[in-house]
Amino acid sequence: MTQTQLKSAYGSAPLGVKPRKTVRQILKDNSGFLFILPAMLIFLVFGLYTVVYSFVLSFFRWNGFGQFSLLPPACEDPACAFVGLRNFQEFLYSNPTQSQFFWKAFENNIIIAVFVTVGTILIALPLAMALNRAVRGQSLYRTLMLLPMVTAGIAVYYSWTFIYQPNGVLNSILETIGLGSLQAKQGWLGQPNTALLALMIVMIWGAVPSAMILYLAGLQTIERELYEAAIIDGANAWHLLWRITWPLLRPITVIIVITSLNRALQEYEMVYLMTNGSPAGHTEVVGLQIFNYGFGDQRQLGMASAMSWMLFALAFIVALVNLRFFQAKED
Amino acid sequence: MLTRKRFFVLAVALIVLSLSGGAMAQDPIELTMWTWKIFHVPGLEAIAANFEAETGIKVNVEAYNPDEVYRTKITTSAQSGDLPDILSFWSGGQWELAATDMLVELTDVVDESWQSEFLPGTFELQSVMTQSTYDFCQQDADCTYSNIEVGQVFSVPMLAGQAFFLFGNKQMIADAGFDPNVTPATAEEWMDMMLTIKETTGNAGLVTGVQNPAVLHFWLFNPLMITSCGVETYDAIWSGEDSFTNPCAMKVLEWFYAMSTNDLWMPGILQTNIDPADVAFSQEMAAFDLGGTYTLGFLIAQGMDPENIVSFAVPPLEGSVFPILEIAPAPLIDVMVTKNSEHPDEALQFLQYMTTPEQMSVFAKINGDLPAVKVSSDPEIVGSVMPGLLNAISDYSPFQESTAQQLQEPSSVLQLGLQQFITGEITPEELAPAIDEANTAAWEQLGS
Repeated sequence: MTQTQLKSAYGSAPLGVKPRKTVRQILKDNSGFLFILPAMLIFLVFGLYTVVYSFVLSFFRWNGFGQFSLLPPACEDPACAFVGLRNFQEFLYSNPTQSQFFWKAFENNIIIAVFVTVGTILIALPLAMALNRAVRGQSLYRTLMLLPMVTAGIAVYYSWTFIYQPNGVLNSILETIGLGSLQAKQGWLGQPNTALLALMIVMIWGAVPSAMILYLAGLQTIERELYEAAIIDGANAWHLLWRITWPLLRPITVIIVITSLNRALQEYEMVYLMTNGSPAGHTEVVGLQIFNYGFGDQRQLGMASAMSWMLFALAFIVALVNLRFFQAKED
Repeated sequence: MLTRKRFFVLAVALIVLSLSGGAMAQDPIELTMWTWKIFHVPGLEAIAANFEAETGIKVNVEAYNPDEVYRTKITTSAQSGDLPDILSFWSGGQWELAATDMLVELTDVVDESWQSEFLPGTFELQSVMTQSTYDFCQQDADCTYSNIEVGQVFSVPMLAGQAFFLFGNKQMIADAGFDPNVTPATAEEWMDMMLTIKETTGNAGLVTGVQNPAVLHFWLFNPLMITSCGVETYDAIWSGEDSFTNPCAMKVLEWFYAMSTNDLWMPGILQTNIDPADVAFSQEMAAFDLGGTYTLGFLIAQGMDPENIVSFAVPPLEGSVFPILEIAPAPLIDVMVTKNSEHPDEALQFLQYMTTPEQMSVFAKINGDLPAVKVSSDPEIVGSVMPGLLNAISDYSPFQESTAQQLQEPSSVLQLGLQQFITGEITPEELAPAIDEANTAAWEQLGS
């Protein structure tokens, strides 16, 4: 069989020879890739590069002046020097003072993560269930509940700081209702036994609206027939919640738990603005230490990067354990 | 009628003419100066306006605030080569900039005549690389300016000042039965005053920016300790050759502890930072405010009557080596020319101009802040706040003799401990060995 015969028998290209594609065809075949190309480029330059940069930086001592770059590789002495794992070793164990401060801050992060996550769920779920019921003024309640989510963080933090002051609203209310003995004389953010709790209340207050929206969306997907059938079988309100609502909302709960844990472990903005780690380090968190190492007087950007990566690793482990826990429950 | 070709030729000719005209007429020189003190901008702009009137060179003053933002701005601009012509920076911090070749060297430029303009203890202690700073840097493997040699100069001081000043509310002091014009001679007397004021008027004793952990350490602990122990012992303790359990240091820790057990701090003190503390004092929430040369101007700006304020240096403890604390100005802000400047000669000219007594008097009158240059004490020239400040400072201070290097780790433990006195979580007997332990470990890590 000749080439011409082969062409006519199997289309335009001979056997073993791929048909030549036109530019239009190539663009059409790769349209999906082309659509995500701009986003990929932005991610590579502003996402991946910065992540790799901070990872490499965590093995260096650098005060931010002079040259430190990946492309082309540069580290200008004496402002910059390769130190290997020393940054990690120092705050983890080898420098007693530094490691003591780090682990205390991490402990605070864990306390915040656990209490804020549990508190958010315990408040958001009942609120979502209440809002899910058709009542008059439902849209007004929803709007009110969402206010914390749309209010600027800095305004919220300053408002709460004033509420918590020694002569603030909270102490005044306690005095007025005859519970003056419960007042925090140094202010709710100024006493070691109340400062972290006071911060966590603000965090929960800020986290509840988004969690509530997620739960509300989840509740609206649950078939009413399931509840009706259960009621016919004699289920009470507790059974309905525990046997139907809670299991069916588990995927939503997983999302809320992971985002809440992640936020709590990375928290720094609110602590910086409301307490700056006071009183006497009782509200110090790792994020604040990273900020102080990176941008404060010390200017140890390598140390700040090392701490950031350690925090990432710890957050990753926590998220993994959490996922496994929920998966096991599901199985 | 113009054809298309003639129109094109005419357009090209016009463009060429305009470009050559632009090149022939020299552009006026414009310089840029950066600061992080927004409060200083009016004073600096007044100097810049005078400079422009005399030289035709315009200086644009730009402020970036707060401190962290300013540092980051410098870091990123240094990477991209966009630093301004003139930079202001924390005195002593310029070495890190100079070490990475960011600054124009001024070693041979700041001659004796220019040096003589500065207040004693400013230029020669921080703007020149001294032997002791050099030695310490060489000893520390992590020192980031080990390539700077003794005697090198990259900046000149612009602003001086010192903490260690107490401001008292005369009315409150008088209400408690004291003569407000007689200041306490010792720290114990001062504490007794605060106790009496609290008992008779119900007002808190002291306010300052305790939320910032460095405030109690540098503004109150250090002056009490150096007067209590003397320079030699003070240096020996900080360098790990002596101990914080030394009675002279323990006395200071016990005094701090008594401040808390006597409940003399303003309520909510651990939540109070520097500016809010001054505001609280101006609102009569405490009898005394701990601050510095920069505080008085702020208090007056808050609406306090200067006649109702008495100021004095932190009084030493009874039996101290130094019975009074003499306060010499320390440089706070240095100014420098960056290598990114396209007009380094003009930038240097502005540096010389701004640090003349005449121009610094203009600045002092507007800002009420103490310049690092010898200025007149005539209120007509420097304003009403400055003469008082100039009278309160002297040429000598024990801190000038001290060569103590206060390492980060023991400082952190001390700062936390002083706050923990207020929360009642630690005692002086527990804190002193903890600082020693951190100090010894830190010096061992340095290999000394």
